[in-house]
Amino acid sequence: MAVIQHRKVSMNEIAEDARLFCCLTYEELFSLNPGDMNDIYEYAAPRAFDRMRPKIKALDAVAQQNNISSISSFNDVVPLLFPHTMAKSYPLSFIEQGKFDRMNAWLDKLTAHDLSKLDVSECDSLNSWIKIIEENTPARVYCSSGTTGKMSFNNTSIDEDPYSVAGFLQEFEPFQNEYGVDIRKNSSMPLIAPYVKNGATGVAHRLQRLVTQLYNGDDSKVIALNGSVDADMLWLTGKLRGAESRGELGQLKLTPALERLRTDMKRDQNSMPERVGAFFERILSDFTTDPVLMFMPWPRYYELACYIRDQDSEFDLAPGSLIWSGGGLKGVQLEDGWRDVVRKYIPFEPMETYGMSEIPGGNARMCSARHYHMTPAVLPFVLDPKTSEPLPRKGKQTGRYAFLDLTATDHWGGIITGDEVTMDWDGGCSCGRVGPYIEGDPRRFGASLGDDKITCAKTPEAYDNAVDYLLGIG
Amino acid sequence: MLTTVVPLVVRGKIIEQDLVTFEGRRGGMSFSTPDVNQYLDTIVLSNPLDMADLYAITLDEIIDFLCELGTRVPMSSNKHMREAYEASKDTSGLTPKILEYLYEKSVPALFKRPLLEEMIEQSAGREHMEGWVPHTLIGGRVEHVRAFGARTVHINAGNNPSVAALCLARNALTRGDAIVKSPSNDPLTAAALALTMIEMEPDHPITKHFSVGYWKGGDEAFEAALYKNTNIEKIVAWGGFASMKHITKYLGPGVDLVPMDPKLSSTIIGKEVFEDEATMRTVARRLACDIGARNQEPCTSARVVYIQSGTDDAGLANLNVFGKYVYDAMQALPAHASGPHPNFDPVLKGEIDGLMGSDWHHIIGGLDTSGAIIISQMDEVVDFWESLGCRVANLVPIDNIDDALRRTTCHTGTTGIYPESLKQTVRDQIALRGGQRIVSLGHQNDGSASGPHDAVEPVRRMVRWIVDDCAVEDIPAFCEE
Repeated sequence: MAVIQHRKVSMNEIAEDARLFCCLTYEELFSLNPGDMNDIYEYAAPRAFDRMRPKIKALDAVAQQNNISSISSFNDVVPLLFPHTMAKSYPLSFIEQGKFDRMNAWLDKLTAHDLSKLDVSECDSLNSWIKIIEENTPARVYCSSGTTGKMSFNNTSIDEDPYSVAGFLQEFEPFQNEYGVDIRKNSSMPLIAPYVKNGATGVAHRLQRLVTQLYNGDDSKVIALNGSVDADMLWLTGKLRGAESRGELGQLKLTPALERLRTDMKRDQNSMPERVGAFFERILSDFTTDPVLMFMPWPRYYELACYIRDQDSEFDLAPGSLIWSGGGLKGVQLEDGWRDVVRKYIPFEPMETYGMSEIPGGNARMCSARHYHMTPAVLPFVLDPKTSEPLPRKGKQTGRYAFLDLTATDHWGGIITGDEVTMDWDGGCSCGRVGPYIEGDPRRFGASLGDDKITCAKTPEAYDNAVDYLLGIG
Repeated sequence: MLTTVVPLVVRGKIIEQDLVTFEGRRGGMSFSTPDVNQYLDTIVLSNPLDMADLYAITLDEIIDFLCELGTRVPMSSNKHMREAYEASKDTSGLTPKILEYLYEKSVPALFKRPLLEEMIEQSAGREHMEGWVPHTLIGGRVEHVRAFGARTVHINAGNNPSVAALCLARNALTRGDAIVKSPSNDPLTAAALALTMIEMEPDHPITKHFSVGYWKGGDEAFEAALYKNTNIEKIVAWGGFASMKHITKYLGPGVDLVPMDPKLSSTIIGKEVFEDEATMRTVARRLACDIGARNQEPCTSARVVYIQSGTDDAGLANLNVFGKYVYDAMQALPAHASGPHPNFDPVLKGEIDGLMGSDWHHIIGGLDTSGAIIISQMDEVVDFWESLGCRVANLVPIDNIDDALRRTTCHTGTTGIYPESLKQTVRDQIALRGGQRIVSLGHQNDGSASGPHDAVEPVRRMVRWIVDDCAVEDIPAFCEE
């Protein structure tokens, strides 16, 4: 399947099918008249609800709970947005006790594809359950191991892939003076990504989608770490983390099969530095003549920079290459001045992006003014963190970021995130993009209260994502 | 955010220069306060003989002083306490009305004579605090034992102004020297008490042995100098892992840690609750107090409640009705005791939202900041139980009481129990499993200031037990030929 290319589309067409935003160039995307965008939202949001309600049982339940039968304005969709915690709202015991029929019933409510007829009676692991789903339906399930040991399960489908990949790639195109690459026209550029290539993680799924959509199935175009981190491994990782954060590692009881898995994972983790070193060596020697795409978390760029420095080597990245990052430091503590080290040894400044697994189609790219501009295909909201009411869409508003991904067809694209943002609704960013934008960096709600705010009730320790980074899965 | 100046009070002197600013995070207080590093030499009591003035006054005189202080403390007549109250309003999980009650009634109540006497009698005892008490041992040996005060750093919790008052009262009764590190979420109450004492009697020994300051936990330059065993003998520390972590590296011979470490509570309700509707409503009211009093901020508050309803459909139906009664009773609590949480935890809200529509949880409330009762429809605690707060509790159906008991751990501080008869049956097991306080349902948040706390006796731990050891023989028996 070839990735969807640019073509002429009208605003009317886009209003009827928001997936067609991906047919625009990035320049066009960020030149759209805000008044026109408002009209599109007013038209498309109610229709998205009408279209998706019969397909997504959980959306129907939320609508019933809120006594909503239809919506007339896009702000009315706010009570229907799913909290990001919905993706992990299953009782943990379902996995721990192998009740995959119940896990299946739970996920069935979140996807447009009917899972209820699947025979999961023989399933004895997350992998076996997900395998049944993916072999018998277009649904695709990807996981994140999360804090305190509980996994989130997000779903998309292969039917959504052509548009979500196009939307993703659109974000990297040039914009005015800002460097970019039209990847859709340059699909010979390989992608270098030191993440584990296969498995159930969001990153692995993205890589797999790119292989299918951008590289026409040519797996050799994606240069990643070998191996696979599947759902059971992710679940075990989360369980170990949760136990460790509670000081209960010694009390953890695992089945023999899980003990073996734990041993395998430990071996993989121990070998990671060596594998990453070999990967860096390969990057520095094999990919110097032709332009490449590359992305990795910031700590990995720092590791690469240190590797280059320590080997007294050079990184000859070919002109026309594109490199990017996102997700901050992933909880890893780096030395002061790490950015200077990266700047010195990595020839290009990585583009910064902000995204989340709930939006398969796109990230927000940081502009020359260091703000984040989200694709208009995703209708944004900023909610009052206390009341969840939408804050006014004017001026600067700080609150909880929420959105409705209008391109979603097989899952409900309405999510209330766990992030706090400051949105400038009036737009006019000095970078030249039209439309509202996120000012500065988003923050996570529920970050530390601060060292000195002392209460006597126990609060859970915020657990960092350093292990994700170390395992090469995020 | 509120910005204010928090004075440093050192041995009866008020210092408001050499200010440094501490920025509040996420709507917390920003405040300026003197840099304690500039005043380290006066803050520490490096010569322990300077404690002698505390022994020139009697315990009765100390109590008289505290009682007089108690008359001056209500915020309606005390501008310093009023300022502390105003500052707390912005960051506290307690509503203004709850705070008002605490500052006007609860804090002054800690300085009443009957309570102060009880605090002494239930701990070290008046005799030991006032003199050398002879204890005759085997063979006629006599040990004369006296409780002496200690030079102590107090790392106070900031979720209730009563903590500062209790710290002052205990320090005074034990003839200690207190260096109080105020918490960032309540930087003013302890200082306000100190200022009140200065206005009352600036040269009184109790005034001069109560110093109050703020520094950021982990300020190594200051703490390494402060926590030397030549400067202090004890640390009384409230708070969680983060604050304890800063302190533990300074512990060693000569410095004793008295931890008031955080706990989570548990509640166990036997099947007797379902005898009839009147009982259900009465018990619901008691449970509502345990959940809602002071907005579930105390660690003693009920959060996970195991109820012996049975896990069959009939049992769950009863439990769901009971849950409604609890929610309604919580909403009906008086405003000075409980109210919608002013800073509802957005993470918790996200977790509750995620459960809406769940087949395995029945949620009452939870749509706003009024709190929620999450009723599990199977014998499982919600996965985010550690985040429960802001008047959100999880009712969990169980078939047998043992199903609740096996979940008691060393992290369980308080266990509220109904009915009273059940307490006799389970209290030993709870203690063996790590629980520390078993209490009649309704009174989880209504602990005494006199008895054990977190499995220690605070006042007995705060003093130094000194022995004048009078042997009978000239030399020990084992040294004879």
